[in-house]
Amino acid sequence: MSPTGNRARKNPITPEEQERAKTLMQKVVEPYLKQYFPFVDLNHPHVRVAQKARSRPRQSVVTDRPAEKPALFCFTYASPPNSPAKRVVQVFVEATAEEGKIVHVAASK
Amino acid sequence: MSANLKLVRVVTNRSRLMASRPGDPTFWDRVRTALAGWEAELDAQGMRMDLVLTDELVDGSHNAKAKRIRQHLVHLQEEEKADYTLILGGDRVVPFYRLPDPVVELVAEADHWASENDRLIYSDDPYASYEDTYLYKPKHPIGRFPNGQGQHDDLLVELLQRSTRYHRESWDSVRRVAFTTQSWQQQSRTTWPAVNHWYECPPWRLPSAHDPTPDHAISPSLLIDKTLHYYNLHGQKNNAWTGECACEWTLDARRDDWRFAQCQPPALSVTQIPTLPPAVIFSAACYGGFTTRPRPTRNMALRFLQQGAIAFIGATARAYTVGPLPGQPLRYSDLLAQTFLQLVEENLAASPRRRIGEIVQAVKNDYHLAHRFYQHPLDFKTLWEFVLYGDPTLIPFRRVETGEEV
Repeated sequence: MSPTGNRARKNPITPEEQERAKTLMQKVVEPYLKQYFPFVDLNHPHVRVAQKARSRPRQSVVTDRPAEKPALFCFTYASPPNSPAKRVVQVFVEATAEEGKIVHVAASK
Repeated sequence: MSANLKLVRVVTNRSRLMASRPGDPTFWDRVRTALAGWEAELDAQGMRMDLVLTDELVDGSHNAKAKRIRQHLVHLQEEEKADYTLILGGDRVVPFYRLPDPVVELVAEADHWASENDRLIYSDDPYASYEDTYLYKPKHPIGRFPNGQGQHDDLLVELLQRSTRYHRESWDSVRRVAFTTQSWQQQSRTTWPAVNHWYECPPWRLPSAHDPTPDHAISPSLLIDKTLHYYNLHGQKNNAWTGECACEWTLDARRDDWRFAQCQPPALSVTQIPTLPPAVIFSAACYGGFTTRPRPTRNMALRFLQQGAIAFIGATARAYTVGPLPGQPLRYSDLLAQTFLQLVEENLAASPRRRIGEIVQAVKNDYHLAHRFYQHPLDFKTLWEFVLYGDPTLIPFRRVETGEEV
C-alpha cells in the first residue's frame, strides 16, 4: 500500500472545502505562482486536502492554549502539456480564519 | 574464519549480460576475470564475495522479475547476512525495483498530469531492504555497476577494473566543482558551503546555435581535474542538463525558441564531459541517474562513469526542491545533497573512514530520521529515486602511503 493513496481517497474534498480552496487559490496561490513560477498552467490546478481542520479546539497541556488545527490544502500545478521543460509545483496553504498562509512549496527540478 | 569476514553479495544475470554483447562470446569470461581481481582486493580488506546469478528468476515483466529477485535476496539474507550488495548490469540485466510514484496517486484522476509525472520510480533500495514495508529502508549499502550497450562498450569490465585499482591505490586529493541554476543559487550555497566559486547557469552556459560564443562559456577544461562534483541543474530524459533564469521564465518564452534558450540555457551535455580522475559525482538534476537508455554517448550518468567517475549518485525520476519562501529549510534532493557532501567532507579527516555506500546509506537514514513524524509523498519519492552507481565498498579519497592508510 502506498503511504498516501488511501488517505486521499478516504478523505475526498467536501463542497465547503472546495469553496474555501477556490478562494485560497485566487487570493494566495495564484499571485504567488505568477511571481515565482510563471510557467505553470493556472487553468488546470489539482486540489486536495492534506490535513482536515480539527472541529473542536483541544487544550494544549504544555502551553495551556487552545491547539486549533487549521485545514491544510495542497494545490498542484504543472507546466502546460508538450512544453519543452516539464515542471510540477505543489503549494501547501494553511487555511487560517481570515486568509491562507503558504507554509510549504515543492517544485520539480 | 569466513564467518568473520564481511560479506559482499554480488547480483547479476549471466545470460542477460551475454545478450547485451551479441557476437562477443568472451564477455562473461572477461567479467569473471575482472570480478576475480576485485574479489582479491576485497579479501585483502577482510571482505568476501558471494556471487548470486539470477538467470532462473527472470520470467515475466520487469516488475515481476524484480519482485522474484528481491524474494530470493530476502531468502539468502535469512541464511547469511550480507553487509553490502553490488548489482552488476543495468536495468535490462537486473531490473530496478519498480515502485508506484506516490505523487501520481495524488493526482491520478486528471489525465493532464500523465505526461508531467513518473508512473513508476526505479530504485535499488528494496533489494537491500528485507522487510515488507513501503519504507524500503536499506539495511546495508547497495550500489550498481551499469553495463553499456553495444559492441564496443566494455563499461562494466572497466568499472570493475577501476574499482579494483582504487581499492589498492591512492585517490587524488579533493578538488571541488559545483554547478547550479541561477534560480537555485541560494539553496545551492547553503547545500555546500565549502565551495566558494559556483558556476551559475546563466550566465555560464554551453555554446549553442542561439549563442555560439557566450561570454561565460562552459568548457570541458572546467571539469578536467575535478574529483568531487555537485550539479544542481535541470534534467530531462536526454543527454544534457540545463540552467534556469527565473526572471525571464514566462509562458511566452516557451513559444519562442530563442527566448526559451535564454531562460533555460544548456549547462552540460555528454559531449562536454572530459576524461576524469577518479571522481565522486552527485547530481540533483531530474533523471540524473536515469540509465535505462544505456548508451553512454546519450546518457549523462553513464558518460560520467565511462570517463572515469568512481561513483555517481543521481535520481532515476523527477527530483524536487523547495520553492522560494522565507524560512523554508532545505528538503528533498537539496537536503540529500547537503548531507552527502557534508559526510564526504567529514570523512576526509575521519578514522576509520566510511565507504561510499555507507555514506549514501547514512544520508538516507538521516533523511528518514529528520522527517520521521511526517513524511510527504515527495519525501518517499526522493529517498527511493536516488541510486548509487559505483562500488559501495570503496573508501573515497583514501590516501595510501607505504601500505598504510593515512
